[in-house]
Amino acid sequence: MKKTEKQIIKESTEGDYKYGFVSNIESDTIERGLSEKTIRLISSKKNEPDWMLEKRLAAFNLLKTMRQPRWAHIKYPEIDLQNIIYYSAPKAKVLKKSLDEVDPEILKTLNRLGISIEEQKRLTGVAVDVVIDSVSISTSFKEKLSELGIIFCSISEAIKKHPELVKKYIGSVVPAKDNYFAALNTAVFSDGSFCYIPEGVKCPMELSTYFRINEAGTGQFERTLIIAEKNSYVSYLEGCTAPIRDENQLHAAVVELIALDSSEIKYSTVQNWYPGDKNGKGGVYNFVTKRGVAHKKAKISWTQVETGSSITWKYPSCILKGDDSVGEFFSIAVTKNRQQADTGTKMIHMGKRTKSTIISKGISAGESNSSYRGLVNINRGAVNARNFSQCDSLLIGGRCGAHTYPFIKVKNNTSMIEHEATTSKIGEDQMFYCQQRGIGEKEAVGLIVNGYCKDVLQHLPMEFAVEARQLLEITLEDSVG
Amino acid sequence: MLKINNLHCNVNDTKVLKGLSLSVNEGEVHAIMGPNGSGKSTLASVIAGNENYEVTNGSVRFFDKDILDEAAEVRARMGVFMSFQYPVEIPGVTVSNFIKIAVNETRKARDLKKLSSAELLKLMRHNLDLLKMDHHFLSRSMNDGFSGGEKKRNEIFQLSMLEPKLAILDETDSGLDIDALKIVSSGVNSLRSEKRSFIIITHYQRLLDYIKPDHVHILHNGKIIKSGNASLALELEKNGYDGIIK
Amino acid sequence: MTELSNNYTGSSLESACVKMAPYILNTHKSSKQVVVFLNNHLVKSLTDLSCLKSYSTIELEQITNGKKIHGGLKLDTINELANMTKDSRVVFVLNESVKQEPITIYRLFSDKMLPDHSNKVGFYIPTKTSITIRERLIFDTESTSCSNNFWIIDKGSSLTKYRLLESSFFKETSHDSKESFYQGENSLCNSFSFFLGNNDKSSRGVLNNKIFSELIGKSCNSNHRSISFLRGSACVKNKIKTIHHNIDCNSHEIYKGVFDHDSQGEFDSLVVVERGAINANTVQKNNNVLLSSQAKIDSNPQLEIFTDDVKCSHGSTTGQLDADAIFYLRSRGLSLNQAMGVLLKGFLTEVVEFLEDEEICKEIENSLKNLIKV
Repeated sequence: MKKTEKQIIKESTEGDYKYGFVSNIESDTIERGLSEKTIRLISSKKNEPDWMLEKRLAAFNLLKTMRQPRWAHIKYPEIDLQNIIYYSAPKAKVLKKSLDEVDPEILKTLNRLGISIEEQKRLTGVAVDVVIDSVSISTSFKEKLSELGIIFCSISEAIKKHPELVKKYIGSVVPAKDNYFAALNTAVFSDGSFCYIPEGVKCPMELSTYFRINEAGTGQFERTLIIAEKNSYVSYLEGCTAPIRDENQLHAAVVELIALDSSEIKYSTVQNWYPGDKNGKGGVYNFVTKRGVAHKKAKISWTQVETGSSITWKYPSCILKGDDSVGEFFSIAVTKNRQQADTGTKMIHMGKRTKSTIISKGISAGESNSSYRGLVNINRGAVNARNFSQCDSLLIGGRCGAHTYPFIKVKNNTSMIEHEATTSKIGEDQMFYCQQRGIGEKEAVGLIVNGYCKDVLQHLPMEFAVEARQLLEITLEDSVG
Repeated sequence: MLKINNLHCNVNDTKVLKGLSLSVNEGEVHAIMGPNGSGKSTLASVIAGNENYEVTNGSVRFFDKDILDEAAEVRARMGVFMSFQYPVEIPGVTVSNFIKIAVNETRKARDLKKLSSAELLKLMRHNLDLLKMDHHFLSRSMNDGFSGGEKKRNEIFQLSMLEPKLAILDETDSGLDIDALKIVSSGVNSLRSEKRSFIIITHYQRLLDYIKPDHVHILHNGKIIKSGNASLALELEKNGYDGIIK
Repeated sequence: MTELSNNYTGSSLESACVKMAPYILNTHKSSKQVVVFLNNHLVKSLTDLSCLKSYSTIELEQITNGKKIHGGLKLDTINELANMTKDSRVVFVLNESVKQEPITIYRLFSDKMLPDHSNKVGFYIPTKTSITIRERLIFDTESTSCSNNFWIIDKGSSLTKYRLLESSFFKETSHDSKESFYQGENSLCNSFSFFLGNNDKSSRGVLNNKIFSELIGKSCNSNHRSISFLRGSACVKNKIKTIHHNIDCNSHEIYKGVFDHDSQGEFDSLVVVERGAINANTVQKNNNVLLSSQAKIDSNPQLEIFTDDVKCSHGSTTGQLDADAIFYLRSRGLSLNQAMGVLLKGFLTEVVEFLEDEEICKEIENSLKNLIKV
């Protein structure tokens, strides 16, 4: 079912935020606050092995010595870690074998989100691992994937069933000491996804997880770990929506990708959490650490469409460790009202002939601020490394801000680095041309913005691209005039 | 003057030329034709001395001297000129300044006295007129923002200024419309002489309608598989490469 | 005119200066349009005072409080300016020279003379005045010297400034330079900086070059162009901040760098377009060529834009000379060194072609020739 543009605009003008509702699911929630006790409680509720608890406690001790980062171009009050509930799971008595056993309230929620699991299974062939709040509820297509030896499950399950893999790789790309939010996540992560693609296997379908923040005042601390063995391929989708809250919600996820020799990991995100209202009240604080390491001839590709959250602090990065490895970053970040986004990437070139491409499109409207922050670091050994970056910003209205902070460090003279950036407003001649051909102002903005973002949208998997395009139009339709 | 014997050459570890032999005498025009990927442009680059091409066997002798160990500029000063398929853009360097350096370096190597700026300018204008090119050309940056036709004309202009003994034209006709093709070929024809030889590398016969070759060679899979006179090109035009390669 | 007590007078100072830079000062001693500073203090006996209309703290107050400097200045900026200039002892009002001849400012730094060089020196260019400055920095010191200047370019005025460092600087000297430019309505600032090292592999001079540019009035034009060409382990760090306060302003930065041996460069530039400063046109360009595997470069062209009607772009490239271009040139008979020279020259043209001062142009071309050796 494809919606027309008009329908989308109508829907979005009628409701403040399409996905703003609270579902009444019975939850198992622990008390607010963070202490060693909380961490022991989370670990025991999840029946974790001792080594995991030790990792968590070590991270918690590190966290106590660290401060919240302040270098980004974002403003927010100090986050009170003691005022957050760290564990909230829908009360699941027994593991469910089929959807019939799932709480009908949850199914209703999923249906209202427009991602009914049956539909997904039947129409798109996507295996969906749905996370509502903090625990995986339902995983599909598991049998089909397991025939190929692919493991796709919750991280909690992986800790129990595949401890050797988790133990080897968790924290290997994003160690707890990396930054404040990574330490926090390591200490308290509730759940997330685990994905393992064996040697030589091309994963036949897009693996997908829909995250959804539900319980009032619940911080979400997802942990994702994807391992692609030699010569394997996987495309992973992450999409998010969250209901309206007055209280700011903290989200501090960690995603780690390990792409071994000649493998490829494609990681796509559409992020549409509650951005706060026009006065900047409410909204999700999104502090995410995403990083991948690419071994010999491996490729890591990050694609993101960021339209939600009141604050986005996110730099999906690639460590190009192996010779001939490739890193890509394609990003669209839209901010309006009082949203603040500080996002970009880091490309660390270590191996010979490593290549990276960065294309970032920032769109600011209302009183929002959008920043691109990127690092291209060519180390001495990165002989013949190549980087191309293009970072464009589009401004809609005179009260928003668009900022670009590229950092380029070159220590090898055989490398070739090119960086381009432009900042401009929507072209008046383009607008006039559209309007002269009978296209309304709002539609014209949608049209032009979509054209502007084309370079990035084309890197999204098909069905995701459609969703992202609609999202862009909905997001921007009330930002003109 | 030019004798290529059993030439083998690799590009990025792939064998491109596999035992090519060719002999060119003074004043002769040789056409080398072949399908894409047959090694035509590689041959041109190897003769001109591009270091990205690794010669694994065979020899290239120019006036009885093995030139394979010579640097590109030494070969150029000896009289080897290559017209590039894709002439390189050099922003900030004017055509006149570029030619001034190139001409005087070549003269120095040939024990001729340096030409003064005035003498050179006169010569450049004279040659531009011959090629029906605007004098403004001289003050533009090398190939920077040039159209395809302008770039190729600039190559022929340099050919006229450097007066080489052997000129290799690498796909000079590619990307040219019929008018530009006529201008370029009449320029080449005016530069033909008893002392100057040409190797014309092309995919199509049409350039040979304007520049008549004495010999035509068909290059396939890194070797010359058939040689003949101008009529071979016409036969090729009629039957296609498949007809000859079989 | 108020006499300033801290100005250097007396023949001992003069001879110290001449000793430091005899080849320049001996020839220029009697000539017009020369201003000499030693450790940021004016050396009156060597200065052609006709260049300076007046120099006094009283005048300065008039400039900052009265409307003389106005040119669309915002009130808080005027106050800021007053605060800033209060502690500086001297603001020189530059007099437009008769035949538009350039003024040469020698800035000598010596640790053998008074060590105090923290003095801030300001220059004021009155309304509708057009001035060309050749600024030459000469060093006789092993410790880190510093300089702190500001230039107020009033309504409708233009400043063209060439800043040259002696190539011997890069042998072993360190210098921290801060320059601020405040521009009034319709003013133009053309600034060129040349930091050309020498062929000495043991060079290890370090220059910290801070430029702070405020476009206060409407329709200002600000152009900053620079070439750094370093060998040895010399280092130039350019830190630039440009703020567009008003509408219709243009700012252009072109910074070119060539780095050989262990030398390193930094381009850290931030352009801010404030709310309401519409129709801004900004360009930040930083291009670097690394000639050796040990050379290093950091390039951070940053933008902070707070209004929508702008055209801002920045570009940064770092690499080696193009191998195809080198082959092309060699196939035309140029040696490897010549080919590299031609390409480097072409690379630097984007700055050199803007030089209007023939003497400077020749000098720069000669220095580059020595470095490139074509």
